[in-house]
Amino acid sequence: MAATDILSRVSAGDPSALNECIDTYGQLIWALARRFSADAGDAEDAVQEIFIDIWKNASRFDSGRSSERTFVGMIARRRLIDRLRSRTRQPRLVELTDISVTPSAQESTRVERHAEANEVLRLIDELGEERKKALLLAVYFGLTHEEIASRLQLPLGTVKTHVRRGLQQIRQRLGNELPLGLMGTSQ
Amino acid sequence: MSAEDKEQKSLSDLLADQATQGLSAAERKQLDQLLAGRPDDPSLELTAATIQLAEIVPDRPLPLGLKGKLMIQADEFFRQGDQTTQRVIRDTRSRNRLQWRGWMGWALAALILVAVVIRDSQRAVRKSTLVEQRQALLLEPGTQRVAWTPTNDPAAMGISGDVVWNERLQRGYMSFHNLAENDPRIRQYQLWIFAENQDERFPVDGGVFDVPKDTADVIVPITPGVHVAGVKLLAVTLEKAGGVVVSKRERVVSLAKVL
Repeated sequence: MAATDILSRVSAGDPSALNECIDTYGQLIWALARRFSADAGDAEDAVQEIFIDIWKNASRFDSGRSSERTFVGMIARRRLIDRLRSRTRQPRLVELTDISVTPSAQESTRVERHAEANEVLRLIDELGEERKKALLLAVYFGLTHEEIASRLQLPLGTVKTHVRRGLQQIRQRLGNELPLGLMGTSQ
Repeated sequence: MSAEDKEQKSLSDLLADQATQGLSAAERKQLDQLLAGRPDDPSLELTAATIQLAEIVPDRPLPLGLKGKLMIQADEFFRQGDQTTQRVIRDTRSRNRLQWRGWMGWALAALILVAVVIRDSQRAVRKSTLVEQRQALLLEPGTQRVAWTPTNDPAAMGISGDVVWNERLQRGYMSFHNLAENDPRIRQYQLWIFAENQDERFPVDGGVFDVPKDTADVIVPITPGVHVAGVKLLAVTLEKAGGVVVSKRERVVSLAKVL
């Protein structure tokens, strides 16, 4: 059964869909949780909370707005951001070089990427350098705008503008060029 | 800048904040006020998710203990909604602080689940035990899970569920959602196992089972009386009370093809 059927079956009360949800999205959510959590135990708690959120919000999935995978990613990010906010935020050891090495089509083939994912990364590459860094620090690593301002030595207002406009630009280009949430069914 | 423009900018800023760093309680309230009467707009959150998914690499499987906890959580969520599941998460979280990991965490979560439902009827306690057994089997190497394919038989209308089978252990579980109840004095469901080492005309009898009244979900153990090698298909038929030695296959309810 196609992965895109899972949330509709969850909201319809199909018990087998809950386990399929775990099988299909578990690895992705585990990767996200590890990115945003202090340690493995924290990440495990986050994963459990995220799946509850997914099942509770399954009926809100709209296939006209995004793929199921992107919707699941959004739900996961909401919970992970919420958990970050509720903890005392620790400075993150994020080197700016991590951001300057934006994955591109010429990247090492060690990491497989869907063609669609490369397209998103290409759109990000087209943003101005400063805007790209601000956006990726915010999205990839969950830094607050204050933390980004401190890291990039920019005014807070400038960072907020970069993040807002960067998201809006990517949203617009995705809407114009590709369906939002264009990732395939595989993880 | 007009008041309307200012309001629109505030809304855009808050939506961008929501999509990246989250909102304080005051900011959430402000956003709710600005959104009053407007449709919900998750587009920036979805965009942020799209950006994140373009770079994240899911390179490690879920830890087995965590997967076990999630499966128990799924069963609990399905049966009783999120309140009891939150209690299970709180209980397992407190154990995590004691640094119980892996299968110990799963086993404890399973024990907690049993403790939660033991207050209910005896039938609920037995069902929870079968849930745990099925989850445990899912974690065993070589276990396969296959969804049922319902037939056009009236008893199969609206059913779903799956078969979990481990050939090495010669053990499995059937689960059904919405299988029609039967009167065991008249008719019973019977499982048939088609295997490579058996004549297809005479599949292995997997036993009879019932779906009691007002029971939406059942889990039934599979314990074939003989060794079955190369299981390729499971079928459930509806037979006379007590089952039959050879099914005429007049009422085939569901099928599960094992790869």
